[in-house]
Amino acid sequence: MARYGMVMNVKTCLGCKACMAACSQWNQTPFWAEDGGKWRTRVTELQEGKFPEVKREFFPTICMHCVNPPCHSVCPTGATYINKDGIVLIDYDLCLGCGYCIEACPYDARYEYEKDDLEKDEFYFGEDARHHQVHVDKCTFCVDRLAEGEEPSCAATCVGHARIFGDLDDPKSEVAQLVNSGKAKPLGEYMGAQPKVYYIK
Amino acid sequence: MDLVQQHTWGWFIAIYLYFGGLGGATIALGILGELRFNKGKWFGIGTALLGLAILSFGLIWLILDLINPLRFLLALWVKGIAHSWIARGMIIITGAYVFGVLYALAAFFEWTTFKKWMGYAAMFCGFGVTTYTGLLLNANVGIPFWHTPALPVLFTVSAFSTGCALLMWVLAGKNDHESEHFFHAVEGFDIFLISLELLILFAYFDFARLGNAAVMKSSHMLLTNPLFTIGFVVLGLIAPLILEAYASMKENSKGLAAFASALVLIGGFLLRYLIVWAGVFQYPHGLAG
Amino acid sequence: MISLNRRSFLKISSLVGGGLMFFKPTAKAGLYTPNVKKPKGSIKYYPNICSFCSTACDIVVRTRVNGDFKKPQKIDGNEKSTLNRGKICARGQSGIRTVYNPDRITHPLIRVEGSKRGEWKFKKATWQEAYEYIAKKVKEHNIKPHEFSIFAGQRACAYERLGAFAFLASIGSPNMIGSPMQQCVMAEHAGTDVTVGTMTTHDEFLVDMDNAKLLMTIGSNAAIAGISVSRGVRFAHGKEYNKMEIIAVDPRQGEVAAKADMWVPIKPGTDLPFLMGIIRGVIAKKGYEDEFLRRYTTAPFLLTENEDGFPEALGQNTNPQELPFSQGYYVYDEMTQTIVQVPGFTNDNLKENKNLKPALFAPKGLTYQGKAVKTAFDYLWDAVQKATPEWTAKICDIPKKTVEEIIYKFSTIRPATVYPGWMDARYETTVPARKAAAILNVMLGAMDKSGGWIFNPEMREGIEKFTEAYESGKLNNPMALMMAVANGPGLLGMMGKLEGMMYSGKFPLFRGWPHFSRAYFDYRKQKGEKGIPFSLFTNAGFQEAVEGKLSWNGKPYQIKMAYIYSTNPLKDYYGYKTWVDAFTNPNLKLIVVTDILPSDMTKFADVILPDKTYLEKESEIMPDGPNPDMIIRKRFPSVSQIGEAKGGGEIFTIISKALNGSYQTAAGIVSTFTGWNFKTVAQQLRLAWEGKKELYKAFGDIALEEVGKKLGMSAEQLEKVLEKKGVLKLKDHKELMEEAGMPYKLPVPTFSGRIEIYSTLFAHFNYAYGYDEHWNPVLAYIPIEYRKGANEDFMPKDNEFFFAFGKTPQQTYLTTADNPLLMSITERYPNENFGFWINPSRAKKLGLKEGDKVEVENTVSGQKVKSFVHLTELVRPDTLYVMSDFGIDNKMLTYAAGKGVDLGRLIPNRLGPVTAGAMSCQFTVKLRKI
Ligand SMILES: Nc1nc2c(c(=O)[nH]1)N[C@H]1C(S)=C(S)[C@@H](COP(=O)(O)OP(=O)(O)OC[C@H]3O[C@@H](n4cnc5c(=O)[nH]c(N)nc54)[C@H](O)[C@@H]3O)O[C@H]1N2
Ligand SMILES: Nc1nc2c(c(=O)[nH]1)N[C@H]1C(S)=C(S)[C@@H](COP(=O)(O)OP(=O)(O)OC[C@H]3O[C@@H](n4cnc5c(=O)[nH]c(N)nc54)[C@H](O)[C@@H]3O)O[C@H]1N2
Ligand code: SF4
Ligand code: SF4
Ligand code: SF4
Ligand code: SF4
Ligand code: SF4
Ligand SMILES: [Mo]
Repeated sequence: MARYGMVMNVKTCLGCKACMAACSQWNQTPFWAEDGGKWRTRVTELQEGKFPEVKREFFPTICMHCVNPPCHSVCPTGATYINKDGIVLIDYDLCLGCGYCIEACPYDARYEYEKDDLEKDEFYFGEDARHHQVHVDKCTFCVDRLAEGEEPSCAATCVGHARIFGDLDDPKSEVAQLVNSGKAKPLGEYMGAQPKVYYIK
Repeated sequence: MDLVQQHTWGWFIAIYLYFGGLGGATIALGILGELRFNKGKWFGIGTALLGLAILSFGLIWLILDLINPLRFLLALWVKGIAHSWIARGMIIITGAYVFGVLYALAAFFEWTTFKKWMGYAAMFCGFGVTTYTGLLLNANVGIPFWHTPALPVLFTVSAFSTGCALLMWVLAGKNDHESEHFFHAVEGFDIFLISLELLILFAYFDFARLGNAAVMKSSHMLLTNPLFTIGFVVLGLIAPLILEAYASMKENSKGLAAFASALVLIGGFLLRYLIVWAGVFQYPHGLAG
Repeated sequence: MISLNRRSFLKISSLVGGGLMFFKPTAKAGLYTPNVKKPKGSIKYYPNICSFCSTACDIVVRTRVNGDFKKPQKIDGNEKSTLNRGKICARGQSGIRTVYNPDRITHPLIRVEGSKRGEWKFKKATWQEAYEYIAKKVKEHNIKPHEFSIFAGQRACAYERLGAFAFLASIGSPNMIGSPMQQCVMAEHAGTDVTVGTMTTHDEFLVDMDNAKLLMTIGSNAAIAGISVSRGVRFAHGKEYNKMEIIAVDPRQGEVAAKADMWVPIKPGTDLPFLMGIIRGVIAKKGYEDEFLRRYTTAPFLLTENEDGFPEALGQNTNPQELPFSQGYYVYDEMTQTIVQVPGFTNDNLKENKNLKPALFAPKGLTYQGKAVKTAFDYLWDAVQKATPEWTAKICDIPKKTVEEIIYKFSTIRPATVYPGWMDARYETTVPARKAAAILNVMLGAMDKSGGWIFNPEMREGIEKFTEAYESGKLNNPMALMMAVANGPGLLGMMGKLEGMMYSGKFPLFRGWPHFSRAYFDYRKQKGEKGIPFSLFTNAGFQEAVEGKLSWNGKPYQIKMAYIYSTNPLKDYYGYKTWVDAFTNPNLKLIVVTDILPSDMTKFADVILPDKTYLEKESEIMPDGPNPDMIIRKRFPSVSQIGEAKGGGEIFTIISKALNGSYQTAAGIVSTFTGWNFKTVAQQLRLAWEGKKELYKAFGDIALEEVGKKLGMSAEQLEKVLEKKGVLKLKDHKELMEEAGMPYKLPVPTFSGRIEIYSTLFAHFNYAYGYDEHWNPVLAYIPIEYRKGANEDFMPKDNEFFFAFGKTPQQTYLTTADNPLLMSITERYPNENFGFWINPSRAKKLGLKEGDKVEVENTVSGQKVKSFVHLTELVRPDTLYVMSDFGIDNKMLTYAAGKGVDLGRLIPNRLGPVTAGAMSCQFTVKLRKI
């Protein structure tokens, strides 16, 4: 049993979006969707100030794998559940697609994997398509990769060392150290969801 | 902060919330009319079944919004009951069905005591359904405009107001004394409810004025949307209030009151729809995308 | 702070009031019949090399294998790689989407009889039909070897050099046009190359950002964080873990500048004066590495003014017919206060006399044989004299304080280094500006040292071999010297190929014909124009050669056939119309194009031959690019045959046969370049030419054998190791730097063996091509003219702007623009990727709002393009910036067609000085709302 978490170092994120591409290729998320795709992870560009004192930042986001996740508490069927390693997951077979969790998540982590998306999944991935039913989708910390002993796809390829993944309960891990030292902090703490994704800003 | 308008829930949910509330209120008010205003066995049975039918009609839209209608049954799955308002709502709705039908049976066979108990239980569930529709939205912490205790109250009051309007329609066609009496009671109650609704609404927006960015955004969206200001507030609340108040002071004014009721019914739907539409997420800065 | 982001902006703004229209009908309803059969087979991992940009990252492809069937599932960086450290960028991640791109060309296509080039009317053909068609045309028009030219793109340049050389040698044509050579490698690198001895700096050294404490990037974004992964990982690592301070010099804030501690938004085109200002400041503050400059560079060389008035080193070889090796040079020894000779080719001025103290500044009034002499460093100091902080600040339009601060930092912080970008050719001053950047870096002593520019092991091996031969006296005869130089690393290799092989007209293989550019220079001479000295593999003169304007030794020199391999000249070579004219010219009897996609170029083909992608290809054993660690690697295909596609190497042999090419000459060149046994090579190449073995499979097999021998392994053993690990590390860079530090232990591949502040090669150009400030052997300030009447201190007003462009992190021109995944990421940020960046302050004056449509006109060439504006504070108010990756127009490209700005239609085809660089930003533009 572990308590997985991630630290996002906004200071070193290069805005390369390798994470988005990596996640979409492993998890077959709808990059094809209109208006720039649907993603389990995104990199948002932030800007402040006026030339030449203008600050540009790249802000990577994923599901926060909250300890007290609102998405979980609203889910009528238990489709949304928390696994033994603290990862918030969705059982597609139990998911009603009611969208309640999307409305409840205060971190914009979820989206609908629609019928059209299933068709495109098959178009692009053929018999290797991994999505076979409509459901609500979000980051899984790549549980299937963890099971193979590999890092999550996005963190494994993160060029800027901006995504540091590990076990928060292991005091030797880099994540735990960054979190315990107070260097990395969660977002929107006032909402009470207690994210396990922390930010260095 | 990043403000993003919600777009997951739309027409179907709004229709469901509306008919759910209307159905629940109809059951509660109808049974009340039979139990306390002696409206007679058929009135009780009729309104209880009408309420259930309306509720069922609402439910269809919820189910249609799901992936697979059969999966709907999963909502009864015990897992979610502890925390999910959809699951809790399903229990309450089931309660409304069970007690409502039992009440109707008891009324038909005139098992007086049993009927009473079943009637109260069904009324409680009907009432529960109206409140639950508000609590359903209320549970979304990320949408501050919904995440306020005023919302369930507003929805409950509005639901009963539409319930009254429907009953007035039903009663308008009857000329017996009891009906007359009950009609006026309902009319008076509705005037009270609409006034209350206006008051809550005023408090709601006054509170929003001082609220956070998302709440302000939502209220701004509503206040600048003519569908809300003219459609709901003026035509759905103020106009029926004046018409009903006017009608209550005049004899033979059922027609006018029925017209006002129609406005209330339309207004009630607009309220559900627009509140759902105006849901705005307030995400920590950088998250939305 | 309230800020509406992309999506909220989109949705709320368009929907307030229109509530009823808002909710889309649900897309969920209904059941989907899932195809849940688990795909057959098991998972295997195949190493490969990413080929989506010139960075050449090490990758591993997770593949589902079922018998002979292979289907790639996911690409990741190779964790064992010390080059890209297990990471890859979005483009690298997207590779499988290109392999299975529905737009791929999967069959040979022949243009329908009667149709015009550019129309896209093709019919499917078999390989045999395509071969016969080509052979027939060759015969019909009697196309001779020198009448043929290959255009080889980025991929050929970075990954398939050996195959391309073998191919050309087999035909006996000297005509190679390397796309990135001119628009990328040559123009930008020349200044650096002549200083530190490289040929393509991005292959030959890596800036050690892990250990630098101060990094200044100038005109460099995509080459680091925007993105070249091997650099990006070091950049981020150094910033976070070594607290490296970063100064980014760039008129717009790209990814690198966004991460910098100091963003210096200089006026476009002022890199040269800026760097001169810094050099001046550092010299004035004595902030340079004195000992390093005295020993390992040409800074202490004594120079005199020659009759033509340009600086020339005492002892410089002034014979334009010879390569510029010299017997010896002269320095002023501060110990004995005399002028002493130092060896002609060495790494160290103290090599023969440890007690020497070469002066960086000569005493006033020093003369040699009656001529006034000064050191190269004196000349440098003189050249930068006028670049005071005030002057620099004014020319570059930045605060004086900034200039002073940077000078202070460079004079005090170590290790400090400079990172010039890769792609330039923007202005006529590119070469001297790059030279200035290299000089500054050398002054900081940041060469082959922790925190500096570190050479790759190939350079060390190459120069070691060359030095040995040179010192043994075996190179006394000119032919032997020429071959050794052509075979040498870096700058030596380039000049050997340029002046000895390709351009001399004397190399036997080419039967007395030089590269057509050589004939073109003669043609220019007749018009009173100078030649272009540093022009290996450029397209200078291609148009004229097609038009039949050139001759050599009195005989007409015409290009009649072009083979375009993996490059898209219509978009990437600038001057769209020039290229359309050339490719539709009836003198060009045959155009064959090999691509994977229906590129803009393919529209103009007579025959299109479909290539395999990198994941489908074989390879030889390759070094690990710029990696300072000594590593070998190899490709292992992970895809089953797609359509009828054949690997580029196989196609080489097919075309070679149609042109009566001989595998034996190919084998000769290959074995000279690689040192592989001629017989083995000839044997294998015969198989390839007979169509019995893919060319790269053949190369791979030879390499396994040959390298295996060196490592004491059998070919099978080596292959197994490489297949398992992908990369095989032979030596660590620390050890290599210790043993073979350049210039500490070994010379660098310049003609003096030292790092050259005074360039012996540029001096040589003065004799061969006439004196020109652009190739001043030390450094000269060249004021630029943006357009007629707009000189160095011009500030554009009204609707006029300077012009700048750069790359977006998730694209590499057409190589990736049609990739559905990458285009989707790109389209998430449509305005910044497809629009012209304009500062809001200027936009306001012009009444422009975000997304407004505009027409942009080049004030020099008159070319016009239409697009829209993106308002952003990230760019100078006087500059219009745009992403350079787009503007593709072949409608057959589902994802790429019609998006973004086509630079090829805004930038004219011009040949700048020194390298034939396009001067791609030396003009102003005018903006009009439409
Ligand atoms: N407009 C514009 N021009 C530029 C630049 C710019 O930024 N903008 N940058 C300059 C620079 S730095 C460089 S390096 C050059 C690069 O110039 P090119 O080498 O021409 O680069 P690409 O456009 O990436 O690739 C050319 C063609 O190769 C095809 N291709 C991709 N993969 C394969 C493959 O596996 N096999 C085959 N046969 N073909 C393949 C693509 O479909 C495309 O048509 O461009 C230079 N010119
Ligand atoms: N994403 C991506 N990365 C790539 C490639 C790619 O195609 N896409 N290709 C690879 C290849 S082949 C190459 S050559 C390299 C190129 O990498 P770089 O050499 O870094 O080239 P660019 O990104 O085109 O331009 C760098 C910066 O120069 C700035 N600039 C423009 N004009 C001026 C000026 O006058 N002065 C100064 N100081 N700056 C100026 C631009 O604003 C831009 O930010 O990238 C490599 N990496
Ligand atoms: S971020 Fe959202 S989806 Fe993720 S666990 Fe928290 S509430 Fe649930
Ligand atoms: S959409 Fe699925 S996961 Fe989300 S709340 Fe409904 S049932 Fe649960
Ligand atoms: S952890 Fe896995 S699922 Fe989550 S964002 Fe990263 S790659 Fe995607
Ligand atoms: S891969 Fe890493 S550095 Fe690149 S955008 Fe994603 S988080 Fe940032
Ligand atoms: S930087 Fe990206 S595109 Fe270039 S070789 Fe590396 S992974 Fe491939
Ligand atoms: Mo390049």
